Amino acid sequence: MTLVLLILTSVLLLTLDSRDFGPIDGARSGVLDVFAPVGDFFGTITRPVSNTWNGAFHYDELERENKQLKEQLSDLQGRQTENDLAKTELEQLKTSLDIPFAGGMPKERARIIAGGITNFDATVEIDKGTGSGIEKGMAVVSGAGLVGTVVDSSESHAVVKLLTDRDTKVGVKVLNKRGFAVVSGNGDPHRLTGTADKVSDYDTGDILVTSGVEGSRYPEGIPVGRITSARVDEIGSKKDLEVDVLVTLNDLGFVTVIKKRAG
Amino acid sequence: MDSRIVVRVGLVLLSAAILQRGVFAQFRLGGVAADALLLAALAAAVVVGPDRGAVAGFASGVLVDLQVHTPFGLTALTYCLVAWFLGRFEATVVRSSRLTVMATGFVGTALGQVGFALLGELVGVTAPGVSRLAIIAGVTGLWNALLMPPAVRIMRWAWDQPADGRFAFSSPGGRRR
Repeated sequence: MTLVLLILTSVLLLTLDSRDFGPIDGARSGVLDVFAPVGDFFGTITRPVSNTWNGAFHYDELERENKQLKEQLSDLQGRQTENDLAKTELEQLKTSLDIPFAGGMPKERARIIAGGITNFDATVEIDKGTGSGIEKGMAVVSGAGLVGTVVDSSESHAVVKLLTDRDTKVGVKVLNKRGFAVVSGNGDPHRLTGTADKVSDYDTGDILVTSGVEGSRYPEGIPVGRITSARVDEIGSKKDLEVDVLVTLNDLGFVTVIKKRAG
Repeated sequence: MDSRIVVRVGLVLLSAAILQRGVFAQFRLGGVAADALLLAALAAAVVVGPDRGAVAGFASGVLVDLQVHTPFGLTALTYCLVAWFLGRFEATVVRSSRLTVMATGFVGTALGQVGFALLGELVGVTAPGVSRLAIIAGVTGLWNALLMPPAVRIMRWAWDQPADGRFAFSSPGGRRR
């Protein structure tokens, strides 16, 4: 009997949430305001230990990232003189704190104070909220490209859903090439998958940027990822893409919120 | 239920939520962290059985749902179901040892992670791929298996259960703890 009541209550909560029941959002924002400082406090205390831990247990990952960055740098240096886009990418890598895209839009810098709480929650918390003009739906970027979207905001904190979240979808394109594509997360913290028009001439190595089509929540031209595989599917109706995310999402310190509401 | 127990269990669950956010989420293996609130639910199921374990699981799940952005109620539903099943299973174990408690922690946690992904699919949350889900279930299970014995002790205190009660467990050598 107890179990049946609990199941019914859970289903009721799920139903209310699916209908955007206001008090649930309010409760989440309230909990964010209470718990975020706690996460910040413990994060500060445990940072030296967690840094050591990450160094010890993620050494392979760091080595792989280092190798990838070296390859990218080498590639960019080789193409610098003949390819303006590659030149821009190199500048982006060099100027991690400068945001060269979304030029004229109002922005807000924020510090990341905590990562996701569970293994299914690809989010980070930042130390600015509605008090700084940060609202739900705003795009979040770093010097290297798109990071994600604000999904919750309280007076002094906000939650950013990362680009790699399984339910995030981003409309993208390759500059100076035909076609559009949509990429989405798949739970992998470094990669995205996507589909492009079959007529598109997207190829391995191309840099995808946000398309900024009407109604999109992301301004046009924010770098998203580099195509690592582009194959026409078996039916021949579209191109399947595999994409490496440009931003190292698990090693972010600061981000910039672009204060443009979802379109 | 005794109000003293309610306060104690509430305090333990709140502490688990703080630990999850402040400590466990920072220490990951392969990007996977322990799950303190599922651990608390499983420990409660081991200590007080399926029904009250399910209540603790529901409360733990709500605490998670308040902090994440998956559909509200999904974690509560998953944790109460897993705690209930594990409580039922534990009730069939004649003599509980540290090893069986750790195994219960592993299996319950793995079930919890897989269950969350499957129930999530039903309400429109895209599940990770099979290989990623297996890594999440396995690594979280290992974390929680290691943490299960102290969690059971804490839950026994919270629910005011005697150390030699039905759900107390002994060391492999047979000494009652």
